[in-house]
Amino acid sequence: MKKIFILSLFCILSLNLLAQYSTKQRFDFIHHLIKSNDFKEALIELNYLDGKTNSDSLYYLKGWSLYSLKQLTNSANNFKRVSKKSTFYHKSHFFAAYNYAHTQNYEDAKKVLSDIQLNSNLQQLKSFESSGIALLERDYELFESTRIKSELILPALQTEVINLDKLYTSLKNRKPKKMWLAGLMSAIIPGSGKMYAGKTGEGIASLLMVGSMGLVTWENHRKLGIKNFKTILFGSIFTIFYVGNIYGSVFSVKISNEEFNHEMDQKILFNIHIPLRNIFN
Amino acid sequence: MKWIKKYYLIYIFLCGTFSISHAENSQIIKKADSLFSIGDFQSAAIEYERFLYYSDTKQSNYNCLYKKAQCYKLLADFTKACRTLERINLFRENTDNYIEIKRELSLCYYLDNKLPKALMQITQLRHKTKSLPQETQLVEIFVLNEMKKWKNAQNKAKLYAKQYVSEENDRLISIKKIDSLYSKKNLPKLKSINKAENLSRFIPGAGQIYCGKITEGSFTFLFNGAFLALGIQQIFTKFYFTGYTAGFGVLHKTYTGNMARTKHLVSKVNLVRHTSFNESIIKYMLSL
Repeated sequence: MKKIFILSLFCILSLNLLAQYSTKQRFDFIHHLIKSNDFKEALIELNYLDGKTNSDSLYYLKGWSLYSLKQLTNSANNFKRVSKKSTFYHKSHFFAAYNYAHTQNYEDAKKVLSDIQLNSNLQQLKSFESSGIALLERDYELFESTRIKSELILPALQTEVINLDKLYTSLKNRKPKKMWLAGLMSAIIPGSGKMYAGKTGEGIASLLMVGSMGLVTWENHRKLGIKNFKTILFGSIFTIFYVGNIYGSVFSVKISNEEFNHEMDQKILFNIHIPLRNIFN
Repeated sequence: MKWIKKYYLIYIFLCGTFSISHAENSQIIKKADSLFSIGDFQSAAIEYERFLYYSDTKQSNYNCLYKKAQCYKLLADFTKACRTLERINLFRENTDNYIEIKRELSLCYYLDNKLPKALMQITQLRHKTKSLPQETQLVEIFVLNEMKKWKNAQNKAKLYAKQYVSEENDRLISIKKIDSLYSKKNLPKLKSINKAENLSRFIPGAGQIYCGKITEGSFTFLFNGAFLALGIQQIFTKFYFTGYTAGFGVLHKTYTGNMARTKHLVSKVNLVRHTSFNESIIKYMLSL
């Protein structure tokens, strides 16, 4: 009787094993796909496991695949679900915060960072990432309070801490250019507003263009009178150029400010990304 | 007796586990093949990869990688198809498999627009076998066409016709047709960018006419001429600023703009002519 029971149990077990792969085997295979940079295929496999397991590996691997495919918001949402028990907990949550910061979701980034439970080694990294996010938000007070002031900086952070301090200095020292001032300057001397915005070449070109159209209008006005067709034509063209240049100067200040901020943001993101890759890879 | 029973059970379980893992692998390949046959190439590619991951047999690896590459080829992901085929260890394969892999690789590289790599695969294949597979011969002709090596492509196309057109009369006709397709009159007349630029430099609009855009060229010539005339006329009537700005200033803009336009036009015309010539060759060669 006992033998029959063992044999039947063995048969049922065999059939069950034949039917499907174990979750562990699937995870091993997904690891293999990720190693081979087949992130799209890994995601398909991970989606198959969705609902079948609540393993931390599922969220971590999903987060990593999505991060590699540059789908940062979805990646952060998955990374965030990795629990404290997992060996990937710290990596996942730091990357979640970075992904949120990259998508300009600073509130979630800060929340994820503040919720991370850390050992003393990673405390500096947390402060560094927080200071980076504060700088992205242009919250200089928060940056001052979170930035690493100690002389004992982790080797993986040393260069980036210096870089972030330099970026802070350039951001703090830069006075944002005023749109109205650029418009006023261009109204007085055409092109000077663009020069003020930092676009010297464009400014000189505008000065020459508007100036020469002004001279043409003046010449025609002097020789043919104000009611002559040529004077009216060139006068109209000059007015369009003159007004257009003022409008262009106002916008060039806006563009210049946006370009500067974008460049700074990219540099900050780059600097807060490098230590994550160095420490966790 | 008790120990004998224990050993007996362990033996059964080990045998069972081994047979299960073997059966599992054969199930994966069946699943992959059925997914392939219903056209779910993405899932099939994953199943083939799963089989490769769990298997260690050399012969099956070739079959599996080959089929996986087919999946990516059918998904039009030629880069991945090439990457998969490159994973096959050619030293372990027999000549037939080697030819098959190189044939596929040359085709995938051609479709992926990596022409030197496609040509390299064909060269390697030629070292292995005296006569290239029919499909590879066609790929070679198309690659040479894309690389603008007309003479070489023509010779290969004639050889292809001699080899694969069985009827004597049809063969002669096809060779004549190939000669006429590659005749000087029929070859794409590609324009020189330098020549077009120089023409436009001395006679504005001449570059466009050289590219076959007669109306555009004529209008460009008239525009430039009109502004030049306006500049001169205004200076003669002592309107110096008007002449310089409205005449020569605008002329400068239209003149430099015209040069840039000529350059763009030459590239566009060359691309159209080259593509249409290649398409006519492809169409004819595939009809043989």
